[in-house]
Amino acid sequence: MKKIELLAPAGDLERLKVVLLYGADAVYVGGEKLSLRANATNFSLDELKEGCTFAHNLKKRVYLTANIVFHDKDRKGMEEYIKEVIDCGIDAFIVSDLYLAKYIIDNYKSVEVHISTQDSITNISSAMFYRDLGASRVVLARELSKGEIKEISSIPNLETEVFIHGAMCTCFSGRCALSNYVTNRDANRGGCAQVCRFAFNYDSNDKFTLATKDLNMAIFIKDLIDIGVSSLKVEGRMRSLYYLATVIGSYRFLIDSIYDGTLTDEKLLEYQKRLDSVANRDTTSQYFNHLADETDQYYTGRQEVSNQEYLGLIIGYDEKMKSIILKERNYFKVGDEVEIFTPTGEIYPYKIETIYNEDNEKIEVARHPEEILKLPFDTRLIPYSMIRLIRKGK
Amino acid sequence: MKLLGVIRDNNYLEYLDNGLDGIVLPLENFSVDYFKYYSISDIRECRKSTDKLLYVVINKMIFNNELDNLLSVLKELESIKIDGVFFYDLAVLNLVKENKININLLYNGTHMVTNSDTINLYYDLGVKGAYLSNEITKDEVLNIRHNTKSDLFILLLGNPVVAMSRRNLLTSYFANKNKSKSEIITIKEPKSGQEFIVKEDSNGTTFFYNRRLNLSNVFKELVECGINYGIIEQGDYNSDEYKELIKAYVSFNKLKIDELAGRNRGFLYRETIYKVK
Repeated sequence: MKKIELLAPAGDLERLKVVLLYGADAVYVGGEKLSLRANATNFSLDELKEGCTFAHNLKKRVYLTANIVFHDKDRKGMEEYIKEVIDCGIDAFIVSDLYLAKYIIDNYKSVEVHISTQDSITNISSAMFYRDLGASRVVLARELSKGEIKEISSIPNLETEVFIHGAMCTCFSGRCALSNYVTNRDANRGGCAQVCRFAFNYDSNDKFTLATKDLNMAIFIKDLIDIGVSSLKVEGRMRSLYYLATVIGSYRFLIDSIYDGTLTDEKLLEYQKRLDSVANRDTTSQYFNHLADETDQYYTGRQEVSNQEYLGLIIGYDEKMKSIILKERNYFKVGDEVEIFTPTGEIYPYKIETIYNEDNEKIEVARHPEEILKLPFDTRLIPYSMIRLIRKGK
Repeated sequence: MKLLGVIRDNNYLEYLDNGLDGIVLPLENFSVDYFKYYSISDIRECRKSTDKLLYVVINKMIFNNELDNLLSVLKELESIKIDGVFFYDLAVLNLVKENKININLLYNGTHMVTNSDTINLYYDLGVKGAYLSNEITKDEVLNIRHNTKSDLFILLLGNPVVAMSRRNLLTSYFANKNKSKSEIITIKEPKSGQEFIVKEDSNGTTFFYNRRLNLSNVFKELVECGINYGIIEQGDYNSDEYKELIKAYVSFNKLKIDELAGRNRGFLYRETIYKVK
């Protein structure tokens, strides 16, 4: 039986490399046209080509989101663009528009078509419609229970992809134009302003909110494997490198441990805590075990908390000083206890005793994001290793 | 252009006598985003009562446990000989094709019916009509008309549907506040000043824009370019006001329509942005 796929988001080339190195089997990215994240730093054709080469060298895959609900004027240049991105080496398109899906299926046999969650596929019959059209995979609606996912996943010759982590829409994907009416930004063409996270006036002295908590399916990964899901998808093309590294690394560990039978309750708890540590909202499993209810919602205004555990990205090694070179992201100081972690899963506990700046001068405190710093360390680490603060009690 | 009503009270025959060419009937348990729903037996009665056009709406997201009932309902509608079914979920199209049910299907993708190619593809798949999105411009409407063979439906007057959730958002909200629940509330986004009607039922929660859309200013152009059907919702008009409105459309009295409905032209001249600099 084919091992389940871990599918990660990437808003740019650096994120693509990070998520693949941290264990994603495939990555989904937006191009300069047709993508639903118009405000992400989407991939140029050259970047796409480089990303595909990087992924394919690791025997991994790249999917391009082409999931806008297009208007007639967006049609201009569509065929040429599709050909160009196929030539860059992408393995699949994620598409919501039926015309676009059929166009690609009819004209390009070398590339797969996955139907976007924007189409809110909630039943066997609509999933079979897309299979019969020629789609190889459907990204299921986020409103489904375990039983419903299982039934759709039993359809022969059709893969299912399920969201496991990240932000949730309050409404059915594709059935929301709140952004259009409040901000004039088109939700279904990539301009969503996340109006469902706004607080609305209701009555004279009350606020109405409709925002949902985020999704976290860590404890249900085994269930998703058992019911025949093909791909586990993480949301968040615009998330930070640290967030992506932590989330993808954690799910990589959980999936592999389930397959080799080594996952213990303690390890599951540890990785859940790790996922919680990078979350900026509360999380739930949403519809998986029950119809989403008041426990899955927020009742105050905006709910994000900032996360400052990410201290720096390791970008090199100074052989002479036997020190790792890092680019600072958040404040830290001598005396802090941290962890250095790598894309391949190694974790090194480390107490900061000395910090050098770029001129090799000792400093006590790192307080300038983007500053290049050095920390004594005996071992050269692979690119995209990172440092995080250990908070007491976590 | 034929005029279709979406009626909130019970005396639909009076409105048909008053000038409507037909009515839109949201099917109980299988449609969302409306204020009144009709059972199969209601629809059967409607068919017996009038020869005018009857269109049924099946626009909810369908879940696996509803598929058998959906198939039965589609077969019943075939026997009733209604004039068409507006659908959202492709399960409807799939079941109709698989079971060779003789029903005139009309694509009702709410915010997704925005371009000519997709409407034409549906046409080739046997879906001969499409209900245009409310969020496209007048030029886009005209362009779609020019480029498609499909019958086109447009909301001439009514409160546009803005969003639909499977969540019971009002139940959750009032439970959290420990207050007795309202089924319908009005909320306001403070910065933009935009207001929405929020309505919950057993299928989830719908958000409607609280300003009526009124396309009276382009009505003649829409007729001339060949938009086939215009929909006029009763909304919160009482019976007399709604009849007056229908009459104003039948004889096309723009001043009267605007007096009754206001002048919100929606997105006719306001293209939405999707790349924010």
